[in-house]
Parts: sequence; C-alpha cells; structure tokens
Amino acid sequence: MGATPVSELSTPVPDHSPSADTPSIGELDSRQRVLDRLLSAEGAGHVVHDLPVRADGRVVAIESRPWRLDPQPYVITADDFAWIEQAVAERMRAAEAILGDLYGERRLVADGIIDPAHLWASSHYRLAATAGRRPTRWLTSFAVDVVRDVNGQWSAIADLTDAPTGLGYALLDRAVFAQAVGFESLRPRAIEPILPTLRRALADCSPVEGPRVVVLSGGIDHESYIEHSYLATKLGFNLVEAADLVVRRRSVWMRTLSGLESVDVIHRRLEDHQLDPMEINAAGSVGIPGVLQAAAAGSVSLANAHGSGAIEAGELGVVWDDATELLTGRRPVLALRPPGAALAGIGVDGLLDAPAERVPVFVAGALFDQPIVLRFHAVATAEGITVMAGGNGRVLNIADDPRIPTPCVAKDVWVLGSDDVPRVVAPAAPQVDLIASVPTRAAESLFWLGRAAERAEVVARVTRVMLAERDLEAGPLEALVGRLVAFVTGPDRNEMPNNVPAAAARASERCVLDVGSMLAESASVREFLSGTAGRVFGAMADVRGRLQSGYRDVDTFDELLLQLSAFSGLWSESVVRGPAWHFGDLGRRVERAIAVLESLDAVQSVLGSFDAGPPADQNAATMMEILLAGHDSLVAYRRRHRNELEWSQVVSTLVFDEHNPRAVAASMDRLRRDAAAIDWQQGVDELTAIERRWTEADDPDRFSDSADALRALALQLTRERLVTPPDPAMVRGVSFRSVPDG
Amino acid sequence: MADWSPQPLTYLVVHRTTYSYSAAVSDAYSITNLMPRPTPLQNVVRAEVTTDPSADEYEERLDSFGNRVVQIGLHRAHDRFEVVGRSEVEVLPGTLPAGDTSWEAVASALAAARGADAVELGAFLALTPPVSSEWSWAQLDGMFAPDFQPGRPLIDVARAVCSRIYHSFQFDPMATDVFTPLDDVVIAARGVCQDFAHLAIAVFRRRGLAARYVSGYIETDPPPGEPKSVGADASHAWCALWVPDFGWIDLDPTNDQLPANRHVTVAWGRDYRDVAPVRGVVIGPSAAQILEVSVDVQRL
Repeated sequence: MGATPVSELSTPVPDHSPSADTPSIGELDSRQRVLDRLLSAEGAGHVVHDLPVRADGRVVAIESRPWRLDPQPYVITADDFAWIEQAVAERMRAAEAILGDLYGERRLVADGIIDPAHLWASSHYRLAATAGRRPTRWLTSFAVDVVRDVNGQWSAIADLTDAPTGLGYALLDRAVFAQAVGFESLRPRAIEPILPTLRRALADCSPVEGPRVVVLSGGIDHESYIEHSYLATKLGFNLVEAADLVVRRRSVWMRTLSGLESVDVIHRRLEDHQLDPMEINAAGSVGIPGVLQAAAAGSVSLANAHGSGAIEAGELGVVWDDATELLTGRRPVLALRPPGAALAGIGVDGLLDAPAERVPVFVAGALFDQPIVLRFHAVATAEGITVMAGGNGRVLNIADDPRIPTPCVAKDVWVLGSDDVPRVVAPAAPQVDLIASVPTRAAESLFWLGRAAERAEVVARVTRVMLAERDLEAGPLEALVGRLVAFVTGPDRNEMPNNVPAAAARASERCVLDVGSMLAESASVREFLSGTAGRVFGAMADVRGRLQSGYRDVDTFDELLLQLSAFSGLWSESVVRGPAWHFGDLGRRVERAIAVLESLDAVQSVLGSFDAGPPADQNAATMMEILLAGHDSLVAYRRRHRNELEWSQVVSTLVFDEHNPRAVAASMDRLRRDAAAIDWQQGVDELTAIERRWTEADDPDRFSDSADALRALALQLTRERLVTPPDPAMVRGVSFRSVPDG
Repeated sequence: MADWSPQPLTYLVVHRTTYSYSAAVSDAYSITNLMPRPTPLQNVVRAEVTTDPSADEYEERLDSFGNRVVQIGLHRAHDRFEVVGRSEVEVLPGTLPAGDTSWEAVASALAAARGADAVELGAFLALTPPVSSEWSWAQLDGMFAPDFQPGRPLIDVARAVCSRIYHSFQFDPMATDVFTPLDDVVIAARGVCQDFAHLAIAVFRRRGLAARYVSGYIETDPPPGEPKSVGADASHAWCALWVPDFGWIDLDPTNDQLPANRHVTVAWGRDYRDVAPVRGVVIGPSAAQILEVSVDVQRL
C-alpha cells in the first residue's frame, strides 16, 4: 500500500468556507457548473423522457437515472482502504461460497441456517441454476454498499451480486471529475486499472482460449443504459441487446451483418429474471429464449452466473453473515447491517449502532452535511479478487433508506496511496474485429441516426435561411416559403404554414423530433462514435430543450446547424470506415437526396404561379435563392453561373452537378458506393434505374417520383439487410401456455 | 370413497396441444412436461414427445425436481404447431399409511428437520405466489380451522381438507385461468383442478406441512357403473402430502379422492409454474393465437 501522508488531508486552505480544507463557495460553484456540463455531454446528467418514435414507428426512449456529481470528492486514506480492500474481498468470497452452497449441497438448509420455506419461496432463488453444469464461478463482479458511522465503524448494508451497477458510473464520474477539477495537491489512486482486470476476469469465465465476450444490456430503455454503453466502449466488447442474440444448437450466437457469430461469454447487465423467458419466474417475454439451456450445456458463460441474485433477496439477507461463518469458519469483518429484521424504509441512522457520518455536500450554492453510502466494486479473476481503489458514493437525505436507489448526488470516492501495484495483464489483443463484426441492430441504429441527422440539418438550414430573409414577413413570398418548409418537414402537406412564425414552429417541431432520434439512436451505438460525439450530443440536447421551450430565432437554428456540422465532421473524419459506417452513410445520403428532391418539387410548382414582369422575376429569384441557400448550394451555383438565377441552372446545380456535394447526383454516387461496400448489388442497380428517370426532363413529377423511389429503396434496405427486428410490426414473445383444466 | 384398485392398471395417454396463429411466426421455443416420471407406484413403460412440424432442436433433461423435461426449438416459419405427448404407464394401487401421527407432530418434525430431509422437503414448504393469499388468509384459516383439530391424525386432516374443498367450491372451467390468483378463487368459490390443488397446498403449507403440486392425468372412461371423473379429457392436477415414515400420499380435491386413484403422475413441483405441461415463446408478428388441447387416457 502506498503511504501518502494522512496529514495532507488536513492541509489548511486559507478560505472563508465552512471547513478549512474546502474550496470557496465561488470555486465550488464554478466546478459544479463544469461538472454538470460534462456529465450532460456524456448523456448522463439529464433525463430525456420524450424521445420520439423512429421513422419506422418504433418508440425509443432514454430514461437514465439522473445524477449530479458533487464538486468535492470523498477521500479515504491508504490505511483505511487497506482494511476495506480485505473486507470487501472477504464479502465477495463469502457470497461466492453461499451461492455455491445454495445451488449445490445446501448445507445452509441442512444445518438450519436458512429456512427452506423462505429460500424456495424467493423468486431470487433460481431453480434452473440447481441443475446443469456448474459455472466456473458464480461471481465475476461484485459490489457492496457500505456506510461509516460517526465513530469510524464501517458496515455493509447490501451485497450486490446479480448485475452490480456502478462500476461504469464510477469510471465516468472520475473521468469527468479529473477533467473539471483536476487533482490539485491530492492525487487519488487510479481506478481505470479495474478495466483490464475485468477484461481478464470475463475471459477467465470461459474455457475457450481468447473467448468472444459481449456486454448484454437492456437497451436504451434500461435505466443504467449510459453505464452499459460506457463500459462496453471502455472494455472494447460489443454492446448487445437480447434481440441481438439467438440460441441455436445449445450455443449462443450474435446476429451480425455477416451472419451468426458465436458468443462465449455474456457480461450480463440484466438481472436473473430477465435472461431467459423460458424459465420459471421470468419477467414476461424479455430475454434470450434458451440462453440458460446454453449456459447449462456449458457452451456460454454468464457473468455473473444465472442465480447469483439470490444474495440480493432481502428476506434471506439477514442470515448471510451466519451462513458465511458456517461455510468459511469466520464471520465477515465488514458486517452486514441490520443484523436483525430488515425493516424497509428505515433511515440510514436507524440501520447502524451509531449515527452515520455526515459529509459536506454542495447544494444550490451552499454546503450541507448529509449522510452518504459508498459502493465498492470487486472483480474476480483466476488469480484472485481485485477491489477497485475508489468508487462512488451516493449522498442520502436523512430519511432515505440507503438500500433503495434514489435520484441522487454522487461523490467521487478517492483512495489515497500509491499505484505501484502489479497491473493485471489483459488477455491477448481483441479477438474480434469490432469494425467488421457489427450487430445488425447497431447497423440499423446508425442508419436511422444518419437519416435523422441529415433531415435535421436540412430543416434547420432552410429555416435559418427563411428567418434571415428580412423582407419575407407579410410579403407575397411568405406562404410560398412556408410551402417549402412544409415539404421538407413533411409528411403532412395538407396543413401548409402560411406565415413565417408558423413555418418556424413546424420546423422547430421537426428538429426536436430528429435531434431526439439522434440522441436515442446514438446512445445505442456509442461504441462506434468518437468520444467527442458525446460532447456534441450534450450540446444538441440543450438546443433541443430550447426549441421545445419556444426559442425559434435565427440564433437557435444557427447553433443547431453548428452542432450538426460538428457531428457531420466527426462522422466523416473520426468513425472507422466499416460496414457500420456505410449503413450510417446510406441513411445520411438517401435522406439528403430525398430532401433536395422534395424541395425542388415544392419550388417548381411555386414558380409557375408568378406572372411575368420584374416583381415576379424578383420573387422567383428570391425563391430560388432560398432554395439554393437552404441546401448550402449558393456557392456551387455562383461558381458556374454568373448571371441571374435561372431555374434550369438551379436544377442543374441541385441535381446534376456532381461537384456539388449537396446535389442529388453526388448523393447517388455515394449511395452506390455505400451499397457496393455492403454487397448490396440490388441496391446499386435500383439506384441506377432511379437516376435514369431524371433525364425525362419534361415530366413535372420527376422530382417527387424520384423521392418516392428513394424512400422505397430505403425501406427495402431495412427489410432486407436489417432484419432485427424483422419488421416494425414484429414483436417478440407471444408467450403461450397450455392449461390443466381438470 | 371405496375406490381401491387391487390390480396394477396400464394406461395409454395421448396429450395433444395445438397452437394456430393468424399470421406465421418465425421462431418457437417450448418447454414441455409431458413425459411421466417413474414413481414408487408407477412404471413408465414408454414415453415420447413428438411435434408437427418436426422440431429443429430437441433436448431431454431432468429438472431440479427430477421431472422429465423436453425443450424444443422450431426455427422455421409456421402458423400451426402441434406437440404430442404419448405414454404407456402402469399404475400400482396406492396404500394408506398405518400410523395416526397428529398433524402438529408432523409440522413440528418438519420445522425441526435437518440434513437430507430439510433439503428434500424444503421446496414443498414454500408459500410461493400461486399458493399464497394477499388478503384471504384470515378467511382461509377460519374456513379450514375445523379440519385442523388439535391432535387429529394427519390422514384424517388431509381427508377433511380434500372433502371441504370438494363441497365448498364449485368446479367451473369458465371462472379462472392459469394466472388467476388464489384470492380470486376464494372469493368466487369456483375454479378448476389447478386452483383446488393450489388451495389445498396453501392450506397445508400454511400450517407447516409439506405439500407438492402434481400434474398428470386421470382415466377418461371410468369402469362400468362408476361416474366419469372430473378432469378427464384434459390434463389434471392434484396435491400430494408428505407423511413421515411413509412418503407422499396423493389426494385429489377435485374428485374428493384420497388416496388418488386411476391417476397417472407426470411431474411435480412447488406449484403449477414449475410443471406447466407446455410453455414457451414464439417470435413473430403480433398475431392471434388459438390453443387446442386434447387428452385421451385409455385403460389397456
């Protein structure tokens, strides 16, 4: 253990704040603002409840449990941590022993430690886990919530064994804290080394050399989704949802763009009852049908093993320390409180012999003393147990039952001391090429992300141009521009906004929808995107909020455009070119081509309505200028044509000019390349056929027909190549049972 | 009930379950409890589970109670799926235990049980949700109090409980479904074999006795002159009670029979959920599902 002098903790800081080693209120306030901003950029600090339906009708929603990170860490001395480290490892070993017994010999029942009536009545006790092959180990990861009382006595209040959350949050909080505040004179021990340990531990679960590991999440609807995606990215494993996995021949396979790929280890972030809908006490039809059959056959390892949640059964928890004594000959030094009946809803002080310690918490510009519960994480590899040197703490209100999760203020937990400990060597290089091996669902999300991003950009730019055009309001063109906005915001063309504010309102609605889609889709494919993308999405979420609260001015749309441009830049410069990228690019290009064609269709019909003569020419010119600017093509036009705006040349610039990246021809070119890259020959052929239609220049419907054809092509792509879920109408699990009715 | 069959009887059972979907589903996974297990009173001559269309995957295994489970996967589009369990079972006549141990003595022995007894009987003491009441315990306790007189021999108690359920509850297939909670059964005083088995189990376990849920069949055509049993032509369910130094005794509250006779045991567990004859998940469009079940039990 390193020996950072404890005296450092009490180094006086000249200050006016309540306690001597506390930064000033002003300093805390500015730290807090940076922390909030950075957390929100990670998609963590805010809750987005109202994310819209996807274009295919599938509802998406993110409901992360919101948290704030306090601007001061909770600091643990090296000596204290040396004790905690042993104590947490001991509790993990105890839980492992208890699980081994409950699903094996059951000495705890035979010796009367556990009331069998309670055990077999608990839905946490999974009967399926008593049969079949024993897992290599029950617990790969473990967490324990602890509280310290005012006398310095530590107590455990809950063991977390099912799918313990918080390790990813701790890493995320630390990264954000380091960036926002830095470490000043105190330097905590690094917590990132837990990642190679966890990678090693997951590999150790499987007898396979270099096993294929996936992180199983409940998807963006899961309250801890932010953590799941963060962890998967940090670990370098595929993030999957139940629908990405399928059981065949008693093995688990991942559905990817290139077919089924075998999976050896599932780091499940779902709880026992969510794993397999075939099992007794399953949560409806969620999960992977047959996965427990595969686990029982030993072809896949679940980490943690199915059944591990038994430790979390509240009604059984009261006996765990007795059970540990029976099985290991020793009571845990970190005792589980309350030792007697676990009353629900009891405040933290009521759980302990002495009141819980209070820590300063920064709330609304002032410091308050509040209780805190700390969560420590441990990981078991074949070599032994490693306890993460740090973690995070959840600030409680006095009346909060610390065993019940609450929306909270978190504290980064620092452990002082040296990092000079042997590092675990992570298993050999990633055994899977994450670029080539893309879960089908991820490709689908990227496709819709691309479409939403492009649509938002078109709508924002057209609207921005409209709002910047000073003479538009109350002029003859107002309704006509409204028509353009209606066409690009689609699909309802019956309700045309006939004035600028109505058009801006409609555009704002559409941007809120598409940016919402972007946030939702991107959340499920974080591992494909650059780390900076999180910051961009955080800023987009802010602007989206402003649009929702009625800000529809040039500046707001301008800001949105900037962020969308930043995202486009990251998309083309920071995402590895693999099948995933091509699907995203297909979405983006098809949406761009459709939007340009729709705009041309909208303006073409308008131009015919102008009478001859100078004012009419002027109006037509303004319309064409708005059209070109709305598609960022004024420069492209001027480069070739110095004369007055002419419709045929406008069409040429927006449709045929391959040097103009906004032109349909350029989009078609990219689409053909993307289609070829994913071996979609039928798509390539169809694109060529669509393009041929443009040569029929006299056909007034050519623009709308081509847009329709592209829409149909996009639908065909999702139907043929993105078959999970196979169809928006498809649902998993019409579960059936036959009935004894005698 | 003078219902003794002095000779072993052999039954042929055909249990057919057919699912029809209004739109084709692409994938189906099922777990069946259709193969009778051997018991001290039952020889299983042969047993098989077949499907139409034929299964792509088929696995037989024993569950944690020793029941014979078959797990089936069908990974092709289909709009109809039939699972058939066929078996030939020789059933020996049941006997009654000789002793007159009181029910309290049995409950105390169970509470004090350690070692293998505690492990083997533990599951059948558990008040799992299907055999628990949220708000009818007082009513149930009162209703069955006369049957649990102090010092009364366990077998007499069992017979009384069986009889009380038979006379106080109306057999009504329309009143409940597989998910109807016990409270609703008590309120309506109606139900089917599954409900009556759950009810008996709840009453026994509530007083610390070990009782298990048994899934199986009852003879379709009774011997000449005897009435047709309730629950024939379908899968049946009853309850078994643990008797010290004897083992398990079957009692059928639906037919007021103790020991249950002309019964073919398939599987047992804590409650219905452990031994549902067929359960599963299909993946496909949201479609209407029609379920047809037929059971034929013939004496050879």
